[in-house]
Amino acid sequence: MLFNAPEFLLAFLPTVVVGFFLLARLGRPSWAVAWLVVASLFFYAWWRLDFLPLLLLSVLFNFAMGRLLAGRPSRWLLGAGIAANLGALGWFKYSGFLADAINGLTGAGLPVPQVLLPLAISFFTFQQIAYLIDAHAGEVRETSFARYTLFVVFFPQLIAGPIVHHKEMLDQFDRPETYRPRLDNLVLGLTAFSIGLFKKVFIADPLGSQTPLAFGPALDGLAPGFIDAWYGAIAFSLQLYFDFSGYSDMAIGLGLMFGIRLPINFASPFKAASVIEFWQRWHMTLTRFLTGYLYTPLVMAVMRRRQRAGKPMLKRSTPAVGPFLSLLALPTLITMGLAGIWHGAGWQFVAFGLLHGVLLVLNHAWRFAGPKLAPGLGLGRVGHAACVVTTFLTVTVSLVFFKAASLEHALTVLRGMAGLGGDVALMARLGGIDPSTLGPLGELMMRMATLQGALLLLALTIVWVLPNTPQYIDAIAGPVERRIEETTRGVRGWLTALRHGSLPLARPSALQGAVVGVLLSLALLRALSVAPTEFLYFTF
Amino acid sequence: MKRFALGIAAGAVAVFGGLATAYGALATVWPESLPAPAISRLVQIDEKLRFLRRHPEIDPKILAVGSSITWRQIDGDAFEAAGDPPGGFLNGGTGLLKSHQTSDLLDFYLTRFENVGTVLILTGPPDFSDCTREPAALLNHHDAGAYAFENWPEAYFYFRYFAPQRYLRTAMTLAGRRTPYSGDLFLDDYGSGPIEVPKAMQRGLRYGEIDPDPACVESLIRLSHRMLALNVRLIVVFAPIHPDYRQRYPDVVTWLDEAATELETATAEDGTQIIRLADDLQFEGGDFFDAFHLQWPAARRLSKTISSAMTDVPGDIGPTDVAPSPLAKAAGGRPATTTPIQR
Repeated sequence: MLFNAPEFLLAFLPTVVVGFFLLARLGRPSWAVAWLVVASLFFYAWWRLDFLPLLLLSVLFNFAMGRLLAGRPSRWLLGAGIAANLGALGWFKYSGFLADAINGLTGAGLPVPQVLLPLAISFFTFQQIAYLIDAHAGEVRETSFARYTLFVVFFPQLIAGPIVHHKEMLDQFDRPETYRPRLDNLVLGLTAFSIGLFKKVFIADPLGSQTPLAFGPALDGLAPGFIDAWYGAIAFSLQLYFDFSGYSDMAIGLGLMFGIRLPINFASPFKAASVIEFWQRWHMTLTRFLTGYLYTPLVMAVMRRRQRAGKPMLKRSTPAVGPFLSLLALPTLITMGLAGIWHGAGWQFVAFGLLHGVLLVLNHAWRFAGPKLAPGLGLGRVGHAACVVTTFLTVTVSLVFFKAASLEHALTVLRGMAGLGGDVALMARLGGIDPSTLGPLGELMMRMATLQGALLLLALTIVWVLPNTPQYIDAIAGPVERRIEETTRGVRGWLTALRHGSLPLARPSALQGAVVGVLLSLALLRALSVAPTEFLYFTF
Repeated sequence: MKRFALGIAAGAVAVFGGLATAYGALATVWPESLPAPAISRLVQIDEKLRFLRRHPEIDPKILAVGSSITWRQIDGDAFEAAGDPPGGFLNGGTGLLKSHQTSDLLDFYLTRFENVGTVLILTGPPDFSDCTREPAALLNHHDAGAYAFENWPEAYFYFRYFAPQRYLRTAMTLAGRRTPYSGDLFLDDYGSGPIEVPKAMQRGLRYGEIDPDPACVESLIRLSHRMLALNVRLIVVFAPIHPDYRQRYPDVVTWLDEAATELETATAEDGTQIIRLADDLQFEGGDFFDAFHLQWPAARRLSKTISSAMTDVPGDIGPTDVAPSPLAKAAGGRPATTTPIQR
């Protein structure tokens, strides 16, 4: 069941919300928790019943391991727990890829297992590994199986995150006010959900129909034309952002309806002026997990070894190549390589992760060396804007690997983006215009003059100019996670706030509500629509 | 927060009110700019459903169905007289269909038109690609039937098939696209889409090398067997191909020729008639506006050629109440009839 599915919107969500508060009112909070657990398991099983036992087994195993680790911390036990989780993930997600890779490299002829990937396995595995590490460190102790299960399977965040810590979610279920229906929570939840749904069905999905311009011909080994390649690749970057951040908005909104504040997952990542900043704004809970449970332990381990060997540490004032490589570059590459493959089993995902690893290393190197190489170099507004656009285009190039069906497919698209593809643009051919009469600029203008082009421009305007959903929710309700500075009202207030990437705090008005109502009803109509995806077939 | 919540409710009401007003205004004041409900994956099929909704009197005995090769190249006048008794021709063809999608659309028509005795398909290389990759069904038969034949309220379909961006995109150019003989969505009285493309608007051959999919031929063979079971005669015409295309892509043309032969062989006992006109010499380069589509005057000539080929063939062309001949019965069906004209 997806958040934009009719059965979710019309039946599941209203039933679960009403049932939750009704049970909390009639009985005890534990009944409401049990109700949410059952509802979340139903939500999960709706997709495929046969993977429900795997989810339950994983929950049971990690709950037991967590109790053991909390009672008697043991590195061996922790290692075994993590290994079991990674083993299950490895079998379901990577066994086919690994067998293929080994066969490709050695010609061993291993049988390639055809294993169906259980929904959300990457998310619930990582979340529980984090729980085991926290339990081992004595930071969490959970004695209720129902509460632990809810932490893992809570349906707003089960399928696609945000990846939450045990403490940040279950502490909220300890508060009595969580079990009382509150108008502000319900309305704000509905608001975040509406914005997310609108982003998904009105922006992300239509943008998705434009990505074949770049990725379609490449499936047949044909490098797309230069403009088609960039146009389709940018459409995909925006589609992915609006799709994933829309889903996160919906998750945050659903959590709010139950009085639960889930962590922010996207903070306008395309406003980032560097790749480092990009990862601080993109899929933030994954970045937090990777930093806390992989990158930092790696750095600490290397640091301890270097300390024991009496080798120098990395210092910003006197950076040296050796410490930089071993304490920053290597852990970054390892972390990002694994982050890449976490996203999917395939060499293109490894390439995606490693490319970002290299970009991060270069970005860090510039932070170390830049002030010495170009002292006094400051970025004005134009320079900052150039950095934002450059970062966006760089990320767009990297996301070609993310979207591609294979490494070869990605490289074919990139050939087109490098201007080595076909000289005839697909869209120009379909549009009935002789491409030979168009220069690249004319071709681009023709593209942008269409409704699809207008949508692309609108999407770019939204990501570069407007605040993001959590900022909007913050502004009308107070902070969700980060405190927004109170600013003056009126135009000056807006300008000041926008310059700081936020919104002025404002009392929620009827007009703002009406705008949300328009977004919600349009998005609902679209989500409930059964209109099939159109074949864009020009003229004949 | 209460005001905000009330605002949400007001916004929702405003959307429904605004949409209803927009629909009412378009339907009464600018009906030519109101797109058909987006029931199918193709605006061309949507327009065809709208055409059927507006012509409840249509009861075809000869039904043409297929891609734009059928849709654009049949002059109903040439077939109107071929029925027995004369009358009742419908061109149900539309754009882009692959062979398996044609088959699905034909199923939809046949459940609604009970008196169809002859089904005519004009086909060419583009129809024989991607039958494995693309889905067969382009529309929900139940909803399409309710809209086109059962006169359910139109507004219901606009809400059920709510696709504002698609409607907006279509509406912006719709009036021009419905202009007779120049608009690509114009439908004549028979449901055909006659078009004459000025030289300045032509794009050469437009099609490159086509990667044929054997599943498309298999789909046509299955269709032929189904028509036999329904006692409906099937006529498949391999339509003319631009001489330049034949010269530039001989492999495609050879493949198509072999596909026609395979179809003939496999449907020999179905009574299916195959008419091979792919290299018909009466159609020259200037008759085409791209590799596979004829300008309307040439399409009218083609229609006459096909019509006479149909009537030249021994056997029955007409309503379904004509029983198969004893010979056909003995052979398990009607004899296959191939008409290679000017080959």
